[in-house]
Amino acid sequence: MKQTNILLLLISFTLLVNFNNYIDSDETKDIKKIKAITKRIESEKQLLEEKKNFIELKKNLSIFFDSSKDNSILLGLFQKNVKQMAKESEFKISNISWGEPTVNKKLNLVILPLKVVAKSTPYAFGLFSKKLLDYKKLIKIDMISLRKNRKEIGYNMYLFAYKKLNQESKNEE
Amino acid sequence: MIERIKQKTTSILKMQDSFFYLIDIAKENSFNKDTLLLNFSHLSPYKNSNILPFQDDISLFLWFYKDNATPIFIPEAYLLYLKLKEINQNTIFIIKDDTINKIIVIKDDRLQSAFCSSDMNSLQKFSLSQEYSIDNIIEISNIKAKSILEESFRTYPIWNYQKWYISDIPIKKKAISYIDKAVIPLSIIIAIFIVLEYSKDLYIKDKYQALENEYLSIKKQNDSYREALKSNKKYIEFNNNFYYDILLYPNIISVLSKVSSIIKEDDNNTIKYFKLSGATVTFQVETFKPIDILNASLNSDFFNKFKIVSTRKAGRKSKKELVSYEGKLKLLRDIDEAN
Repeated sequence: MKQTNILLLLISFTLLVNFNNYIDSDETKDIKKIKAITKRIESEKQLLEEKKNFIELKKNLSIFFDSSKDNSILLGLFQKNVKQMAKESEFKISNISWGEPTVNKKLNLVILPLKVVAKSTPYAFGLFSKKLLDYKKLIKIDMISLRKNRKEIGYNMYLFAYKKLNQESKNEE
Repeated sequence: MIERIKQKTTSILKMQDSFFYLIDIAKENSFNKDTLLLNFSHLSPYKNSNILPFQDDISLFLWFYKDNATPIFIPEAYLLYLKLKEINQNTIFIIKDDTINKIIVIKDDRLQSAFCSSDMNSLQKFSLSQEYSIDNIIEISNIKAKSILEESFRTYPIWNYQKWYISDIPIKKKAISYIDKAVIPLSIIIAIFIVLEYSKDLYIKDKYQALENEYLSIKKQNDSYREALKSNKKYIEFNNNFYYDILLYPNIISVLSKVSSIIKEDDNNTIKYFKLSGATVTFQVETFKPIDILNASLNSDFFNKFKIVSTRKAGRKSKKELVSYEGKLKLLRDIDEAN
């Protein structure tokens, strides 16, 4: 066999083997990548279509107290507003005391409790309840007990207001 | 099928178109066509001749013929020899024709000589007999010879052709010679393959790049939407959790209002006490119809359980009863699922 042919054959096969290894691995990888990116493009196009019908929700987080303010300040404000609503509805509060604020870690919420003791007519309680429901911040009556006492009714209740924690105020807590 | 292939691809090398030569050889010797031509071409009566060799253990049969077309063929003399030796193994066979005589000499079962002669008189026959020391001379008519030839050609196995046409060059040498011839075409094929593969690879890379750019462009357009979706989802999740985990039970005012409306259905009823803490509702009512209040409360959507805890006379002279009730509130989640 001619030496030039041997050399040519060796070079050809060396090139072929090396090239084949390079091409094989790379091509398979690229084809997989192409398939994956084509799928992604399809889903992005679908998302683009959905976008046309999207309505963003109005996020009303103002029903919670200001997260930047201290719990004591907020409890003071809460108490003041409750008293104001009671006065406006002639709901006679004899005593308000603060409960211990607690944190709901799952929802990042601080619960601000007030204990209210009052003596009033059912009509005044009705007005007071309506005011509580209409108040700009969310108030939950967590416990209530009513006892008839001559012409009036005695009321014992816990009112809860809420403060939404952001990450920074959570760390402070 | 095989017969048809043989008929179509093979022809008979006529005795008058060839020259036969027999050489005694040692058993282990083998020759290729080129070697034979180099050594024996001078024996050929033709100017430009080719050689058709056939070798057995002790003899080398050579047929020289004019080197023009080279179809696959079997010498006529050999085919006749195969059949004639069955008649007699030590005989001079003379096939008589109008123009030419074909002489085939078989001695000790071997083909000794095969040639043509325009004339064959008794003197020539005698000299042939003397030359080969064979007394037996058989004359065969041309028609019979033709039928012998056809029969021999028909029965000659096609796989025996490789003895004539496959050279004795060792396989290794043969392989090398093939590779030698194939190197340049092979290199060209490899080069074309590499170029094509490389082009394909470039195309795939370009295609991927184009797709990636398209993807990034669409993705960028969707980023704000994605954020909005995420924010919506988070808000909905928070609201659900707040509603079901923090508020937990129906609004107290609604429950109180419902209980009041049940009690007020009868003007004679008087509520004495009401308490709602967590899921438990307890109240005390002075009534003539305690069961009506029980049933109405059970039929409301607020309670899981509702029962009368105690009942006693409201006073010595009163026909009313003082009844204590206790109920367990449904969870908001259960109420929503039921709806």
